[in-house]
Amino acid sequence: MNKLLKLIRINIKDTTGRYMQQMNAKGKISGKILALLPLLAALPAIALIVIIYNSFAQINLGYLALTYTNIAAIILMFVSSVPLIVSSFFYSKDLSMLATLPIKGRSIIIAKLAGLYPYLLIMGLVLFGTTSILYLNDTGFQIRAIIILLLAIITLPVIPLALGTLVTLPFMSLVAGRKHRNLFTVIGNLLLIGAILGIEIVMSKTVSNSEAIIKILSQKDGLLNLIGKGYPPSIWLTKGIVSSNLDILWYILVQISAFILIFLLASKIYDQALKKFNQQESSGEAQKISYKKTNIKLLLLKRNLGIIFTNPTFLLNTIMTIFIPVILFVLYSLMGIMNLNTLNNPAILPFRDFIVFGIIISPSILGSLSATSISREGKFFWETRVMPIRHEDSIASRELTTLLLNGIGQTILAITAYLILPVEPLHMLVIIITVIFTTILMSKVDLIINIERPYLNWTNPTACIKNNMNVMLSLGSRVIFGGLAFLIYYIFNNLNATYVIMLIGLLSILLYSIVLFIFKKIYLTKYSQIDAI
Amino acid sequence: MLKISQLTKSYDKKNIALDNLNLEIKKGELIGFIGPNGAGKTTTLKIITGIITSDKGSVEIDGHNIATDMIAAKKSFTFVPDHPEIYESISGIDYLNFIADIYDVSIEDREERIQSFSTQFQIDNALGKKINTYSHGMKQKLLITAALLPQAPLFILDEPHVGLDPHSSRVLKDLMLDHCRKGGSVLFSTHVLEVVENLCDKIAIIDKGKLIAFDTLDNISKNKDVSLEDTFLEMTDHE
Ligand SMILES: Nc1ncnc2c1ncn2[C@@H]1O[C@H](COP(=O)(O)OP(=O)(O)O)[C@@H](O)[C@H]1O
Ligand SMILES: [Mg+2]
Repeated sequence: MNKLLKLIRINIKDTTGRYMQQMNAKGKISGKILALLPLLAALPAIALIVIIYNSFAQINLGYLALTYTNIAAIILMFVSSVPLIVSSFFYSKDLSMLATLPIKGRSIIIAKLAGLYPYLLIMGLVLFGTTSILYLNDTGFQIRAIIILLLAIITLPVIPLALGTLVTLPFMSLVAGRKHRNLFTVIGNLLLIGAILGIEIVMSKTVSNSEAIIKILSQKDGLLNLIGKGYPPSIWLTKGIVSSNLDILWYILVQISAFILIFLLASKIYDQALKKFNQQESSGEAQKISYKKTNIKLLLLKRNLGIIFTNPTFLLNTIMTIFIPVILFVLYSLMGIMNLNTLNNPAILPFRDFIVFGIIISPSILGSLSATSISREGKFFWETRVMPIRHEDSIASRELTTLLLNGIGQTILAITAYLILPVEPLHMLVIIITVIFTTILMSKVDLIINIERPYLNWTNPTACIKNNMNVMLSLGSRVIFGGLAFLIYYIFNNLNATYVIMLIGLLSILLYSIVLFIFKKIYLTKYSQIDAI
Repeated sequence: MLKISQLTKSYDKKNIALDNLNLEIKKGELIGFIGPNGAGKTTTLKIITGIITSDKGSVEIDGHNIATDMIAAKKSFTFVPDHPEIYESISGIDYLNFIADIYDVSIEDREERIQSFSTQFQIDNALGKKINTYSHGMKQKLLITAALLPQAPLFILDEPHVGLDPHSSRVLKDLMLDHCRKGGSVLFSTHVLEVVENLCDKIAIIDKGKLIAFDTLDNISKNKDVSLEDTFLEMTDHE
């Protein structure tokens, strides 16, 4: 037990230490200001929660917002826990070190899970914590409610972690030792996330049936039971907070069982999945030896793509950020949420060009591939440093990688959007040209961000991608660009949509020239001064 | 071949890792770069090779400045780092082809050299396999093979003998000597004195970021009764 606590401590210390180191990478005050940026990202979520709470409070059912956000938090934590578990369990470099220590396998598993706990806790805090405060404020801060809510928040990640572990590990032990285990990992994760989203959509669809709602509203606790249907503990928690002691007991029992479950499974998980998975690929099949020449630009592009494609965490992240609009779009059209009737509604006809533009541009707005392109190389970065390659070429190959991947996603979206929402070919041309320029601009901006804040010394690929402030900064740049684009729309709102999009394209070109100028003036040199490790 | 002047570097404000380092290596010279752990050997080599930048000073390789004439300078040397961390999810032969492409090695040359070096290092059978299945020593030998492939004038290695088996260690020594005989130069760091003693033309000793000696072995241990080890320990004594 003592050893376990030590292990947990060093795990959390390592995580936070690395985070802090990264924050203060350049020392100075700017680093501290940057540390506050993630809070900004939580603001829209908090605003949304306030709206949700108020709409429930208006019909005197404020406590239902607790149920609602409790489930939302659980789902968010569960979905996030899957890639976190995969990355920190199966692809982190400290494992071989930990495996040599005289510690039980169970302790390693629990310590690793404990290291993930803070991440999930923060998500829970933003979603459920906000509602809790609003609820307590409305009901006059009763001691009983405060204690229950506090305990509920602190223990919130237990169930998602247990579920995440339960789902991930059998799958990982299944693919362990297989030849294409990385591919299986990525596909499995995608399927899992797709399934969760699908369930969500199906569940939200049943609610929108108005006859059913009236019937439900007439029953006692009908709405509560409906909202909490997918996750009964949220009902028990809500009832518990409002009055019922029995329900609180149920809730606590579930939490404890989840905890015991993790504990019991831990050593099995270690032997069956973790140890097996980290055996090197057994396939002794060697490739045929040949000597052939390849163009250098192509070589670098291949290398950059290879770094993404051979690391499941990077691959999953890339697919998720670039193809999530594609996935959602396809999923929504399949489930009939975004069917032809709604989209071909005459009321939205004037906005059709904007909608098509928004759909096609989304991969480069949501994804920030370039913002981690140097960081992704990590300990391999020295290679490109030592070789006689011009910095310009090295940078261009990174941009090309981003543009290629974005381009694939955007082409798929453009074709799908054109089929569902046909716009005039000439308009489509304007849209596509604007998308291209905006994408080029975004990739350059992201690259500047990464040159400004490279993060090479990571041991865990998730730390490189998720923990990286660059992604936040990159999203910030999108917000600014979106603001400017909206300004154009606002000023020229009597113009035809196509002209507005054309102006946005011109804006991108203008911004790109400015960014390019800054890049050549400052960032080329800065790139050459990045210290490899 | 290599000329470094007034090299200064500090990682943080308090500690100076390199302090006004000057060094010149001529064509055909085999130089051993020795010093205690943390003396600044790796830092020096990283600056020479452009992996990190110095705060002050300049590095010139074969007449090309690493900062202003980067491509030409980098074409004049190859480097083997102390940790064999390379992009690993490709096969050994893919990596060697990659390096050969980057340094413009013709098909015939690369075929001949890869076969020769990989057989000498006994990794020829592993070339078709993914690098992440290699052992530490195999990775290191692959990196050395890759670095020898372009036959660049200057060959730089950081602690190359660590992790090599006696056979490979010997092969490496012979290859280094061979490289100098053909007119190239070699600069390698080590903290193992025996390696330097019967191999190098000249020895550079670094301690706490300062170059404290740069001369032939004979001149450094002028007093013939005293071994290099004693001289080294005496020179780097911090009492
Ligand atoms: N990335 C780094 N950050 C901070 N200090 C470093 C870093 N790398 C090396 N140092 C410091 O620089 C000095 C020289 O290190 P190094 O060149 O690696 O020594 P050597 O290779 O001779 O053993 C040491 O004091 C070491 O602590
Ligand atoms: Mg060293």
